[in-house]
Amino acid sequence: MTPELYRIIEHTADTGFEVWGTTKEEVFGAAAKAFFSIMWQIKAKEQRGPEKIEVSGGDLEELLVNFLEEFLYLYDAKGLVCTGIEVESIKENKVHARAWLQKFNETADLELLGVKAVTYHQLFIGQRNNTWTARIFLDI
Amino acid sequence: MQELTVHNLRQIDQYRWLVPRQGKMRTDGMLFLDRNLLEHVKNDKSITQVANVAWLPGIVGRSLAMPDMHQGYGFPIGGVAAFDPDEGVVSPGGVGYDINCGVRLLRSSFTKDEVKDEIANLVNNLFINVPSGVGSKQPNLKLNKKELKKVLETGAQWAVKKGFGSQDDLLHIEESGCLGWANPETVSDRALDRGQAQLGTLGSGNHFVEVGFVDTIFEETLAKGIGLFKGQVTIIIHTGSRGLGHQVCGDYIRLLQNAARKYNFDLPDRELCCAPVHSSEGRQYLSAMAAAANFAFANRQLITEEVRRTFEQVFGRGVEKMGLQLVYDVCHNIAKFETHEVDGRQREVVVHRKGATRAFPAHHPKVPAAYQETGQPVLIPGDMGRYSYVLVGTDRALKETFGSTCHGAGRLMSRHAAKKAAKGHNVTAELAEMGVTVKGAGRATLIEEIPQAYKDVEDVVRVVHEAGIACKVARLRPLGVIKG
Repeated sequence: MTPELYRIIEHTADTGFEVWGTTKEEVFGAAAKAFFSIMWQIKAKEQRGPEKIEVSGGDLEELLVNFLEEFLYLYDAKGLVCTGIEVESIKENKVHARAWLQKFNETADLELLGVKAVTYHQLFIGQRNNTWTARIFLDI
Repeated sequence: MQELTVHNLRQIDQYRWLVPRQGKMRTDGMLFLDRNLLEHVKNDKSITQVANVAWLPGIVGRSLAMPDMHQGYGFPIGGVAAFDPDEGVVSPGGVGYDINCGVRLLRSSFTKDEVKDEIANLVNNLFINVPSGVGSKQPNLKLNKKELKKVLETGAQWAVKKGFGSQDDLLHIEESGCLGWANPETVSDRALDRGQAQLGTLGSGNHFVEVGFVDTIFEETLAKGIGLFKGQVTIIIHTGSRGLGHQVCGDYIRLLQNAARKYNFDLPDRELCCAPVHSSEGRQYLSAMAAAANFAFANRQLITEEVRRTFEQVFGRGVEKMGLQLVYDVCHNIAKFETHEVDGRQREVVVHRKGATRAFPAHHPKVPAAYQETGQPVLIPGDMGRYSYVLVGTDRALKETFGSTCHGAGRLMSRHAAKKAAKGHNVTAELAEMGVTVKGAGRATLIEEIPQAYKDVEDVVRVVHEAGIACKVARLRPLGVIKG
């Protein structure tokens, strides 16, 4: 992952990040990748096909929160981590993506940060001068 | 009275700062701070958040903030607000993601000298017996969804019924370890999925189990009344409702955002979303929140049993002989129906405490029989290197803060800053030098939670004590800690 895809924003008790992209899809993908690299350090990527992910939300902000929360759910409930993501389309308040999922390996992989939730705190997603930007804060 | 220009605050006395009602605020705000803590608070948006809470419909009394206040999501951490059950609202942002994150304290009949050679052994065994870390799972407890729903319905009572602890434990838990209005059917399948394997686990971040000892007694009679003596070994357990609670909060923030639109609420922040207490959305949230709170009560009860088992392993003696009794268990993140005196009459209100502790005085009917003469024990954990406090609730708290006080130290440094500060330091070795044996699931957590990253909890406790919204009883120092 290229580090310049996102920027960490930290206040005393808050951890958040900012991401950029030329399309909505790109910025959703970048947000997911930033989220993964904040949460885990995965030693080895398994060679297996992606799974389809579909998430819906009332508006673009809610969609972004729900999209990231999906990975928190997969991790907490099923022990799955995501090593790759391709956001195919965002339309009619739905995001369609392909995610490369694998089981978290207790001995090799590292949990970097215990994220409780993706919040609406100072949440932003929008377009400025042909660039899509998103800002998300996590509850740690 | 003194006028201050910063944030339009008006200083009432040494520890009270009024945020005067203005704009769309329906009431004043009140901050319990000294000048030094106020300087910290000015660096974030928490005073604005106190003012924002005052916008909410049906708020009763003032929008309050305790001295450990800092910026939260929607409500500030350290925020307390009460709402009228008919005209008022309930807000998931007023409780937080970690529903019923809380603390319990156990006492023992050991003195510090009797355990000091076994601390490393204790910490290692606690680390094995109490699953910790981000996605920690409990291997010895397989719950199907039906059983999990029973946990959500009856909380710590479920645990005791299954043999984890005693009836006596239940008498020493806020609300006896069960919020009766919980309804598991309002908890989503996703939340159940996240909680199913996590009952009896510590989790990560600032959650911990700490073996310590009473190093100072401030009030001999009160200490005696709650069974504490100088040099006595104590155990603190700090954790909450794990992924289940986080999911419930997230689910209901989604639902209540629509409700806020439906009921035409004018909100300054999306995270303040809320619904009328008696609306279907409000009632659903309260039932689901109570279910998550019950999960947390059961969680702390199970961990207590693991702690007792570990002591048995290490010392080869029975729990009763070691006097491993529950002193008390308090919620730090909760919304509850409580009766309070407002403008001279008793009325029911929905009190939100987000990073705040209930602090009811002696002779209050909700205080257990054992503490009728002392007041309800209040447990304030500090960072892992310094100390924690035991206080009791006061009449003044009941009068001024809906019977609430502070809950902890609060961060001073961001996680990034903590990492930077810890660079080149061996955190475990330095803590060992301070007399504290620490074992953490993740090295990252240990570094982010270094003592320097937190305010000195003594500064916070001094304010609540001097302001009279709790009374200091004893100070505890850590000997051994396991961190999530």
